Amino acid sequence: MSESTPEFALREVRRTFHRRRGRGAGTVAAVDGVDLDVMAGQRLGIVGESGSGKSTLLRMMAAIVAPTSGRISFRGHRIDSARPRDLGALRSSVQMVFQDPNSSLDPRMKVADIVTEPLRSPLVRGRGDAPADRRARLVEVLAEAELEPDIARRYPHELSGGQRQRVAIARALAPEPDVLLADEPVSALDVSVRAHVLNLFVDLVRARGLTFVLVGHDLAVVRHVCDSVAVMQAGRVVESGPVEQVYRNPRHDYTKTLLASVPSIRAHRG
Amino acid sequence: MTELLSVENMVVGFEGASRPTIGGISFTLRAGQRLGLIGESGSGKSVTALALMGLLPDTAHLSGSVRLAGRELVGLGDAKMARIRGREMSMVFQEPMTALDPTMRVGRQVAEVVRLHCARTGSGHTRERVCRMLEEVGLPDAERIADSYPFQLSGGQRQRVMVAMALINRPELIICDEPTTALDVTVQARVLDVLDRGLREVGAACLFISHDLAVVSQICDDVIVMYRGQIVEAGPVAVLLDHARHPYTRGLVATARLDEVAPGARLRVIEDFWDASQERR
Amino acid sequence: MRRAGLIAGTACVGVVVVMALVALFWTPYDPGQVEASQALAQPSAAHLFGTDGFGRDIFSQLLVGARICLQVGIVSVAIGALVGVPLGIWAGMAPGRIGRAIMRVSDVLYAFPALLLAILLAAARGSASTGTAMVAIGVSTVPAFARVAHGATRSVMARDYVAAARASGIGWGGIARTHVLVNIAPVVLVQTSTSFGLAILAEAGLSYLGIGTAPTTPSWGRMLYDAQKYLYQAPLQLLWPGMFIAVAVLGFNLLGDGLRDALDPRLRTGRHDD
Repeated sequence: MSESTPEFALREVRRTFHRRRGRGAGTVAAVDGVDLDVMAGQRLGIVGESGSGKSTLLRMMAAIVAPTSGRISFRGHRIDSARPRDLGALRSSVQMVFQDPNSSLDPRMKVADIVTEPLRSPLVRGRGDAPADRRARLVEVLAEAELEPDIARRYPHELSGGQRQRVAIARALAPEPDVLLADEPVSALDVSVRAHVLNLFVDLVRARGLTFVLVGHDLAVVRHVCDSVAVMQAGRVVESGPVEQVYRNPRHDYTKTLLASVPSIRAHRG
Repeated sequence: MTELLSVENMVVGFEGASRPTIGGISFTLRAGQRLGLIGESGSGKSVTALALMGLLPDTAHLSGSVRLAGRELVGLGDAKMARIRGREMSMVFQEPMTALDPTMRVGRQVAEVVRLHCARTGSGHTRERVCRMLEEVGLPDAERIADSYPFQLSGGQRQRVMVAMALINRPELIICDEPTTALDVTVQARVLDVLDRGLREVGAACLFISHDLAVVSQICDDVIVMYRGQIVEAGPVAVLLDHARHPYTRGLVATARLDEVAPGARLRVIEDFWDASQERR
Repeated sequence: MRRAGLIAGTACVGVVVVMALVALFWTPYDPGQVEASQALAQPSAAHLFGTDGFGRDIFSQLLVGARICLQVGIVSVAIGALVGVPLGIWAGMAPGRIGRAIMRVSDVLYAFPALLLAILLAAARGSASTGTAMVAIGVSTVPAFARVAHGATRSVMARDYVAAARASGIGWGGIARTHVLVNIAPVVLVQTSTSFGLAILAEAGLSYLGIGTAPTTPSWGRMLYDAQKYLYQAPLQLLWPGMFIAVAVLGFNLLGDGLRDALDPRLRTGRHDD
C-alpha cells in the first residue's frame, strides 16, 4: 500500500435521521458534511458532546450505518454503497469496541463464544492469514487483554464492568485487525477502572502499530491515547489537528468549552 | 456546629448474600456541609444512599442508627418516611430517564413534589413556583420545559429537572447518587455548576456520591472513601489529595489525575498502591 | 416465590400429561361405550367420576380428553410458532417498509377470530373435526407469535452486540441464529405456554359449539356441552371437564412464567449488583 492512500477517506459525508416524535420532528442531520482522512498508523480522537454525530460517524466508518450522501472509502475502495459480501477487506481488518459492555456483550453467550465470534465470520475466515485455531486464539487474546483464562466459561453478568470491557477488547483483537475503532470505550467505567483500560489500549495500539480511532467526550482521555484530534459540533468538524496543539492552543470556542469542562481535582472550592 | 445527619454502625445485608453489603459504617454531616462519598462500583455507596432515603428493596435488611436532625429513621414506617422524603431530604438519581415518569409532563412532576408537602398552595401559585425553580437550575425556557415530556428533553435538561425537584422544597439534605455520570463533560460541568449554586441558595447539606474524585472535589469540602462496604478513610479533600493515610485512597487519587501523566505514559492504577488480595480473607 | 409458580405449573401440566399417557394404553371402560342402564350414575368404585347421560364412564372420557387437549395444544401452537416466529424475526430484522408491511398483514390476520376461521374451514372441508379446529386455532395464534417475536427482535437489534457482530462481518442469518433466536427465546417460550393454554380453551369452546371435535370423540369441551343438559340432575358432570380445562390452562401459564425466570442467566445466579 502506498504512503498516500489513507486507510479511511471520508468526503462530504452526511447522515440524516427521521424523527417521528417530539420537538423537532422531521429530518435531523446527525452528520452534516464531514471530510476526514485517517492514515495508517494514525491515532485519531473524535471529540464532541452527545448529539454531535461522532458515534454515527464512527458507525459509518464501520459500515454499520450507511451515509445518506457522500463517499467513504477504505483503502481506496468505496464502502458506503457496497454490498455486505463486498466488505471483506473492511470486515477482516477493522474491529470495533463499544461504549457500554452491558449492551455490546450478548448476555446469553459465554465469554469464549463472545470473543471467538469474529473468527466465525465468513469474511474474516476469507482472509488468508486469519487465526484458524479458535481455542488457541481465545487463550492468547484473553491474556493480551489481561484476563484470567478461566473467565472464558463465564457469562458477562458474572464479570465486573472493567472485565466486561476487556472482553469486548479481546473480541476486537481476536481476528488480528489493523484498525481499531472505539466508541467511548471508557465512559461507562469507574475512573479507577478507566486507568487500566486506557493502559491496555495504549499498549495494544503501540505494540501492534494499530490504526486507532477513538470517539469520546473527554479531551483529557483523547489526549492520552491519540496523536491527532477532530472536534465535532452539530454534525460538523469544527477543529482538527495534532492533539497537543489543539489541547494547548485551541482556536475554536467550542474546543475551549470542551477543555474547560474536563473536571480536574480542586482542593478548595472557590 | 449542629449535626444534621448522624449515621452510626449502619449495616445493610441482602437476602442470600454471605456478607453484608454495608458492614457497619458511621459518619456525620453538619447542616450545610457538603460531603463526598467516593468508591468503586460494588463498594456499597449507592446502597448507602438508598438506605438513608429508606428506599431499600424488601430483600435488604437494615440495622444500626440513622438520625436526621435528631430523629431516628431506622425502623420508621413507610408513611412517615415518605413525609420526610422530598421535604427534609431529597435525592438526585444517576439516570433521570428512569427516575422521571415518562407519561407525565415534567412541570406536573415537579409540582407534585410541592403539592405532596404543602397542601395549601393553589395550583396557579405552584405553577409559578415550578417555573421559577426551573429557571434557577438553568432552564430559561421554563414554561416550555414544564410542558414537555421527559423524552422530549436532553439528558442534561432532564438532570436539571431532577435537581429542581430535589431543591424546590428547600430540604435540609440532598443526596446525589452519581448525578452526572451519565452526562457528557460539558453538560456535567453545567449541571455541577447549577447544583453548586442551588445548594448555596437553599443552604442545604449534600451527600454527593461518585466514583470520580475530580467531580466530587468540584462540589464537596470533605470526602469519605468507601471500599467493600467499609469506610477506609475520611477527611477534607485537600488533605486526602496529598496526605492520604490509606493506600487504597492514594490509588484512587492517582487514577483521578489523568492530567498529571504525560500523554501515552502508563497511568497508575489502584493495584500499584493497594493489593486487593490483602483484604480478601 | 418464583420456584413455587414453576412447581405448581409443572404439577398441573404433569397431571394432564400423565392422564394423556395413561389413556394411550388403558382406560377403565371404553369411553364411547353406551350403557343406558348406567346413565347418570353417581361417583362410585365402579365409575370413579360417575357416568354421563348415555351411561358412558366419565373418568375414561376425561383420560382420552386429556390426550386430545394436548394434541390440539401441540399442533396449533406448533403452527402458530413455526409460522409466526420466523415472520416476526424477519419483520424485526428487515429495515423499514418490509418489516412494517409484514406486521400490517399480521394485524389483519389478528382481526379474524379463531371461531370464524373454524367455521370457514369446517364449511370448506364439509365437516368439523379436531383437525379443522387445530388448524383454525393455529392460524389465529400466528399474529400473536409474530408480534411477540417482532418486538423482542427489535429490541435485540438495537443492542451493540448486534452491531459488533455486523462489524465483524457476521451475516443476517448468523445474527438471527446466534443472537436473536437465543435472546428472544424466553419471551417466545412464555408466549408458547400462554398460547398452549389459550388453544386448549379455544378447542373446548369450539367443541362446545359443535365446530370442533366430533361428537363421538370425548373432548373436554364436548363433555361440557353434553353435561349442561343435566345441570340440575348431575351438576358434578359439569364440574369435572371444567376443572380439568382450568387446571390445564393455569398450569401452562404458570409453567411459562416459571420457565422464563429459570432460563434467564442473570436471574439464575441471584447476584446482587450494586
